Parts: sequence; structure tokens; C-alpha cells
Amino acid sequence: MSAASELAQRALREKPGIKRYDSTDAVTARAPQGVQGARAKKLLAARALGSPERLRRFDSADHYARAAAAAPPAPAPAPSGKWLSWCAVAAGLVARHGCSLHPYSGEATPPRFGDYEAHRHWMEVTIHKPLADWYAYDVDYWGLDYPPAMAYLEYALGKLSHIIDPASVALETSRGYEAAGHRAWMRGSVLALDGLVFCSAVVALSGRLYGAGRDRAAAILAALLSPALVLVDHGHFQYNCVPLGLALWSAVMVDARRPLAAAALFCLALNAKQTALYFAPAVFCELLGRALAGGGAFAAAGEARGPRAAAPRVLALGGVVVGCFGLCWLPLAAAGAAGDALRRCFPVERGVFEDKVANFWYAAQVVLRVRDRAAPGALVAAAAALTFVAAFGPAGWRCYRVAAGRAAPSLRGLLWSLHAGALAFFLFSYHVHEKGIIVAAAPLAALHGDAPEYAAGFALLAAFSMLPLLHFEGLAVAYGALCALYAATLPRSRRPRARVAGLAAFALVHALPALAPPPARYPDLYPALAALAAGPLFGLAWLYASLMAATCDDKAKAG
Amino acid sequence: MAVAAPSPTSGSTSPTGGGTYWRVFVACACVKILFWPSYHSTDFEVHRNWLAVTASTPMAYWYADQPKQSPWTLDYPPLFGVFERFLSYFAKLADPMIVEPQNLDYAAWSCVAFQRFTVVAAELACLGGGVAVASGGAPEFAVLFAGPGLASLFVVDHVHFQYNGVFLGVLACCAGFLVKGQHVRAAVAFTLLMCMKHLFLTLAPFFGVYLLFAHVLAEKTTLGEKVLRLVDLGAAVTATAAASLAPLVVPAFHDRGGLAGVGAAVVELKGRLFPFGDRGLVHSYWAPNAWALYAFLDRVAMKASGREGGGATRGVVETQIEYLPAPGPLHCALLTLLAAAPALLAAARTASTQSGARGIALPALAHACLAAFAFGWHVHEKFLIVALVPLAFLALGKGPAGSSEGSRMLDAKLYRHVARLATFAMLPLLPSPGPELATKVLVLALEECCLRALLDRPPGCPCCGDSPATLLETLLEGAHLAVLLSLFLLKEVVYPLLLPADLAARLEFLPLMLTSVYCAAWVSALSLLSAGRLLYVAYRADASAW
Repeated sequence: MSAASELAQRALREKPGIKRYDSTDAVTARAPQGVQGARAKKLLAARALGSPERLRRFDSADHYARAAAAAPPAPAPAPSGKWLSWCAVAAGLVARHGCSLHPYSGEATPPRFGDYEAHRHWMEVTIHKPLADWYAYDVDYWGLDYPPAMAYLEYALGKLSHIIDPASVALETSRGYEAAGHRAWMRGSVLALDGLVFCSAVVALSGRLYGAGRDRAAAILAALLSPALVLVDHGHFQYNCVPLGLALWSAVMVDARRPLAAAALFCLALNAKQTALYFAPAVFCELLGRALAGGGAFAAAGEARGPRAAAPRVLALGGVVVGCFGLCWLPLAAAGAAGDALRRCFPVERGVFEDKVANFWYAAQVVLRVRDRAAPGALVAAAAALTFVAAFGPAGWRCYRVAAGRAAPSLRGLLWSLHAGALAFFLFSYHVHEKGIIVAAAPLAALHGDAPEYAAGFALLAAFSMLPLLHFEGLAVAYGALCALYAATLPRSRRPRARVAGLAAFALVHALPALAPPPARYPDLYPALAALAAGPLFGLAWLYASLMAATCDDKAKAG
Repeated sequence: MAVAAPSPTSGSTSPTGGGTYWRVFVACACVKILFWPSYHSTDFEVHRNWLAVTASTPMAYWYADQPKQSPWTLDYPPLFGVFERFLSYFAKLADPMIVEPQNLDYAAWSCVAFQRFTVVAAELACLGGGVAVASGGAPEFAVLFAGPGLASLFVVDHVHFQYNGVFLGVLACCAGFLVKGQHVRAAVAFTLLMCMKHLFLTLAPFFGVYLLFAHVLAEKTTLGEKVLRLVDLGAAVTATAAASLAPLVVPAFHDRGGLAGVGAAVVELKGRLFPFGDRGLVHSYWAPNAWALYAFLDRVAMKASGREGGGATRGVVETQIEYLPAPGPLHCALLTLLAAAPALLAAARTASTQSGARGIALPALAHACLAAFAFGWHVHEKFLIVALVPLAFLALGKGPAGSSEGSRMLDAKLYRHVARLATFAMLPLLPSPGPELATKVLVLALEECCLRALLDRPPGCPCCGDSPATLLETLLEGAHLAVLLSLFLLKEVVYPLLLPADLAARLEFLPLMLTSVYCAAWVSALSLLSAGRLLYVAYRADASAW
């Protein structure tokens, strides 16, 4: 580790007033303790896995026929189901708005507050400071660490905020500004962006996957009520709906045989938040596989197959990617701030994981004390290698099968691939936050109708894995209500008893800390146990999702 | 919510319907829990104070003025006091500070969560249970009653803060008993309802006439049977009323020196329940009823005559009629009776046969509610929700047997219009601007989508082709929605953001007045429609003519 990054890390650690809801260091010093989690693991295993035999609904020859058609016609919505779908959208927005009435991260906790203050601060900085200073201005107080597209969005929101209430984004003097009216504006901005970008993508995907009528409405409702997605954006406070929605829109465009638009949208998602990178292998492999396959999988009917024919298509895609990134980064580069921005966006000095996150690195630290034994540089390299294998493995396999014409490239397969790739990043990549699980939850939410039990189990487990954070932020009531709402609106199960048992077990796990209070020596026992129990389950989910991504649109099965 | 909502074509009698009914209610309860931190009105403190009063005051003195008391004295009948007393036991467990009488305006999170929880739980038990009894647990009833199809109730109970769900549940139960021909049960339920909230006294004439003809004077009964039926009905009502008043009367007899003490307690009760001296004809925000139109006329006439009024409002909660003759409580009662006359007439003409009694119950009850709303003294906008209970049953096809498909469609439209107007009229209860703006937009949108999904007939249905009449109706409805939208924008966007502050302050009540008057005109027109249909029923003496 360089001296500079060591200094930066120490400064970050010693910064006064940074209040964490718990401290990783305190617990890792006491590890290993994972043995005690075996019972909880078993309980949760029942929830997360679901039943593979429920995944067959989409296996129809119709999908290959659609892939071969020049422009696949979108199913015409039956008018009777139209209002039902709108009902589902409205219900999703009502739940989001209800959640936004609860506390946000760092509410009324000076001097640093939380993510809400961070976003407000970025609005303040972007509208008052020249572009060159955006990524350099007082980085110790919530320095901007999002890619440029989000910075431009913050600028636009800041301008609006300035019109409504100039005090809310006044330079320096507005730090910690928490007026009720401004809170409504901030919450409203997330709600509006969520509705415009993410909810609209869900509506578009549900129409392509489930036609019209009740199936579509049910799919929309299940996707929009997925508790983890609602809680992070509208409870904790972030704008994940923008990158996630753009990535889902990109999937819609892939399915609509408009690959260049898909690439542009995905680049925009990447430039809105680094975590969209979790989707990159899947999107890359999908577009590459389709370009190689030709024959209507990529853009138009009658295209030739093979590398030679695909070269112009791949070049066109590359051109779009370079163009989009250029558009986003040129203003920064012109102002001489691109280097600052890159360093702020990829903070390798911030450690291999943060807090108790349900992934491989946290478990490896607890069991093998990896972080204490290995050098940070080696950890970065190991994380990169593991992530590469775990993410590109299934996506690459899928790419090969699509390119070779062994699989019909379907929207379902793409969404499974996005889900599996995001899980690989969540499990193995560097500096993962527990909130990162929502990146994996987003594409799966749209697939609810295909694997209802798995999707429901995953959605609840994703929310559960964030419970320590949410509880710390005063979102326990919202968490409980949203999980119960989600469980109550799930479509009827084919195995109702198994579902009731699973849900009862899920509810019981929450009562454990009250029934058996943690010993005084291990105050963070339960958050640690939750992370250690959820981690392996996410690992199993990754295996399952990889399998689905690689095989779900198998031509042999479809025939 | 919407998943469980069956499409309009699917039957309601599927064997698995029961589970879905409660799942819808539970899902909606979760959404209501999400809204706990939302704005709450002074009614929150009113009910907190009632918890404190009923917990700390001997029952005999519940309605007596205390030396140091909150302005929000108990002004519901004793049975509701018993309900508050029951809740206060749990309040003490949740947070003993809730039931401290001197702890005014206490709104810690424990207190908010507890009181909000009681509303959700009471609604789940009473409304969920009542509608389940009346409808047999059909899921579409859950969608209409649990929240998405009755946004006005959501706004007034779970944001503004009240316990209307309890009353509506009892009323729904009561309507169900009427439709099933269980008259004594209906009478008992209605008596309980009056003893919980005396506002329902305005429906007493309807129940009196209906039960007289349907139960006592039913056809094919001998005189002896008629007398016996009158006796058992009377005995049931008297016993229920006596039992409901007993929590006040018995302790008063014991603790306050016999009959004189009882008399004093009853005088106190009467003073609290009927404060005609303190409360004016209309609230400062006019409920959209006939008096809103009258008050508007009064303002116009005053302006036209060039006379200066003594200010539009007196105190905080009422408006006075200043130029036109000001009606008193007695006039209101007589006009209510007159407006309800079509319902009474139709009931009298048809209810003595069994099928007639079952068929006319809901239309006549709905009209009686609309009439009480139109001319009641100091009626609140939330009383319009009461009319929605029988209208919802009608809309979901529980109308008179043998009535035409056209009349069923009309019922569905009537519900949709009244529900929309009720929600719209309820919105000024919430402050603006702030997070409540999103609440308002979203509940309106959810209700509109939900009612269209549930009540709209699918296109191509033989009863509603693309006739010119349908086109005209679509255009009219579009214009209606445009007016509502402009009123909403005027109140929520133009006033707070675009208008100069001094002008906005001078014309502070203009958007509210326009909203009231516009909604009042619509509600009156819909009530007239209902009156016309009932008069036709009375003329034909046949409930299926509805």
C-alpha cells in the first residue's frame, strides 16, 4: 500500500464524528464464531432456494420464433388488464411514498449525517462550484464519489432545489439542512425518478414477459414491492432507481432488437453509478453473443452468423460505448478533473468490504482472517480474479451458446444472466456494501412470474441481509411493513403449506434477538450471524442463477 | 392489492376466495402501517385525550366538565367511551404517558405508533369482519373496502386520524343483515351504531320505516304475528340501547346519588352530544352538500347587495349564513326527512314482500345516507363515506334481484363518482405543501385505477356499445376530470408557489370554496338521480325497477 493511500485510510478511520451502526473491527477481532450460525442457516436455506420445478412456464417454441422475427411485435395489451396494471404501478408508488415518510440515513445526526446529506451536499457543490472542483472540493465532507452522469443529475436537481428553496443548497451554510419542505422535495425527487426510470422499465419488461392481463399486473406488483429496492432508495435514501432502471431499459432494448440503444442506455447506467458494473459482463456477453449469432437475434432478420459478419456490428457497439463515455467524461476531462473523478469513483483504499456484508470476503475474514493476513494489493487482485471467473463464467457460457445457435436468446435468459452476474460481483468483488444486493435483486424482481418461490425468497433474504443497517437507521417499522406487504401480495403458491412454513420461519428468525439476547461480550452477534447465514445462501443463489442463465433458453428444451 | 383483485369477469364465489379476502385486508393494513409517520390532525390529540379521560375519570363523570380540562372533551356516546376505555388498558402497557390527562399534545413515537396501531387493528377487526359477514368474504369487497377502492376512508382514518372504519364496519354488517332479511339483527347492529356515534341518528327514520314495513307489516302475517314482531323488534332495540347507555347510567346512579345523578349525567351527555349553540350550520371548510351551495349563494347575494359581512368565518370551525335566512337545527332535520322521503316512500311501497324488502334495502339506505349528508347540521365531509358503504354493495352486484344490467352499470358508475368526489373533498384535510402532496396524488390515482379495473365493464360487453351516448358520457367525464384537476392544481400548485403571498392570503379560502361548491353540485345531482330512481321504484311498487 502506498504511503498516500495509507494516510487517506487513516484519515478516514480517524475522522471524528463518523458514526457507524456497528464496527466490523470489533467483531472480526472476536471471530471465528460462524459455527453458531448453523441453525439459522438451515432455517433460511429453506427460504432462499425455492423449487426449480416452478421455472418452466416460459419454455415455448414461441420464443425462438420471436427471436427470428425481424421486429418482434409487442403483445397488444388487452384493455381489461390495462387498469389492473396501472393499479399495480400505483400500489408500488404508494408503498414507496409510505416508506419515504420514515427516517432516512443520518436523520438529525450531526455532524456527518448520512447519504441523504451526501446527495443534498452534491447538489450544493455541483451548482455552486465549477466543474473542475466537483470531485476535489472538500472531499473529507462527503466528497462526490459517483460517476459523471449522476453528478449531472445532481446538478439538475440542485438547480430545481435552488428555485424552490435557495437556502437548501446554499454553499457551505446549507450543511445539515433538514427542513420539512426540503425533505419532501428530496423524497419526491427519488419518487419521481423511480417512477420515470425504474417503474417504467418494470412495466415494459412485464409486458414483454407476461403479455397483458392479470399475469402482467401480478408481475409488476411483485417487482415494485420487492422490499429491499424500496427500502434503500426511499428509506435509507439513494438514487439507485436511476442506474438500475437504465440497466433494465437496456435489457428491454436488447429484446426489442435495438442493440445500439441498449448499449447507450447501459453506458448511461454505468455513468450513473459504479455498481452498474455488476451487470457489465452479462450485458457485454449478451450483446457479443447476439452479434455473433446474427439471424435476427441482434437487430434485423436474415443476418449472417459468424465472426466475420459480426465484426461491423461489434464495431458499431464499440463506437456507441466510446461515444457515450466520451460525452459523459469529456466535460470533466476538458476541465482537467477526470483523474480526480476516477480516483473518487474507485476507492481501492477503502478495504475489501464494509461492515458486515453477506459475501465471500466477510465470511473469509471471519473464518480465515484473510484481511489480516493478506496484503491489500493481493486482496484486490484476488477479488478481481474471483469476480472475473464468477461473473464471466456463466455469462461467457451463455454467450458461446447463443453465438453457436444452441440457445434462443431470450429476455428471460438475459435477466437471469444479469442476476447471476450481479450476484458474482456482490459475493466476490472489492469493497462491497450490504446495499449492493439490490443490484442483484432488480433483474430478478422482473422475473417474478418465472420463479415465484425463488424470487420471493431472494427478495426477502436481500431485505433481511440489510436489516442491521435498516434497524440502525430507524427503518425497522418500514422494513416489517414492507416485508409483510410483499408476503401478503405474493400470488397464490402451488405449495401453500411450504410457503407458510417458510414465511413463519422467516418471521421467527426476527424474534431470536428478543428471545435469546446476545451475550454482553458479543453485542453484534446477530448482525454477524445474519451476514454469515445469508452469505452462503447468496452463494447458492449465484449457482442456481448461473445455471438458469446458461440453460433457460435451451433450444432442445424449447423444442 | 391488485394481484388479489379479481378481474371483473371472474366469479366471486371461488372456493379459495376467503383467503384472498383477508390477504387483501392484511396487505392494505401493511400500507397503512407505512403511513404511521404521516401528518396527523388535532383529532389525534382528541382521541389521546379521550383515552386519558376514560382511563382516569370515573364513568359517572365522563361527560362532566372538570376544573382543568383539555378543550377536546368527550363528545361521542358512552359506548364509544367504553371502546376508548378498553384501548386505554393497552395504552398504559405501551406507554403510561399516553393516558396522563394533563399531558396535552403528547405525540412521542410510542404514542403515535400505539394510536395508529389501534386504528389499523380496529379497522381490520370491524370493517374486515363486518364486510366479511355481509359479503361472504368475496375478494372484490376487500379491494373496495380495505383501502384502494375507498381512499377517502384511508385519508380520514390513517392520515388525518379517526376511527370511522369501526362505524363503517358495523354499518356494512347492518346492510348485510338487511339484505339477508335478518331484521332483528340489523336493528340491534344499527342501535349499537347509534350508541357509538350519534351522527347515525340521521339514518333512524329510514330504519324505522323500513323495519316497520319489512318486519312488522310483512305480507302474509296475521295481526297477532304483527304485534309479536313489533314487540320483539322493540325489545331488541330497547335492550341494546339500555345496555349501551348502562356504562354511564349505572355508575351515575351509584356514585352521584340515585336518579338525580342519572339526570345530571344525561343532561351533561346531551350537552356534549348536541352542542347546537357552539357549532354552526357548516364547518369552515364546507362539506360538499346542499348547505355549501346555500352558503355560496349567501356570499354571492351579500356581494350583490353590496353589504359587508362580518367576516366569512366565526371562530375556527364554522361559517355563518349572513344575508339569506339562516336555518336552524330543526329546519335541517325537516329538510333531511324531506330529502330522504323517496327512500322512505320506496321502502313503504315495496318492503312488505320478502323480495321487495331485500331488493330495496341497499338503494334506500344509500339514499338515506345521501339525504342525511345533504342537509345535516354541521355535517363533515367524511359523512359522505357512509353513503359509500351501501353504494359499494350495489356496485358489486348486490342490487335488487331482477334489476336490469343497465341499472347495475349505473350503480357501478354512481359508486365510482361518489367515491372520487368523497376522496377529493377529503384532501383539504391534509396540509399542503409537503409530503402530503404525494399522498394526495397517489391515493387519488390508486383509487381511480382500482375502481376502473374493478367496476368498468369490459369493452365489447353487449350493454355498452360505442353508442353516441357513451361518447357523450366519455366527453363529460373527461371535462369533469379536467375541472377536478384544475381545482387540485389551483389549491396545491398555483396558490403556494405561483401566487403573490398577499393575494393568496386575501383569497385564502377561494380554492376551498370552489372545491366545495363544485363537489356539492355533483353530489347533489347524484343524489337527485338516486331520488328519481327511488321515486320510480315507489311508483311501480317493484324493487327490481331500480
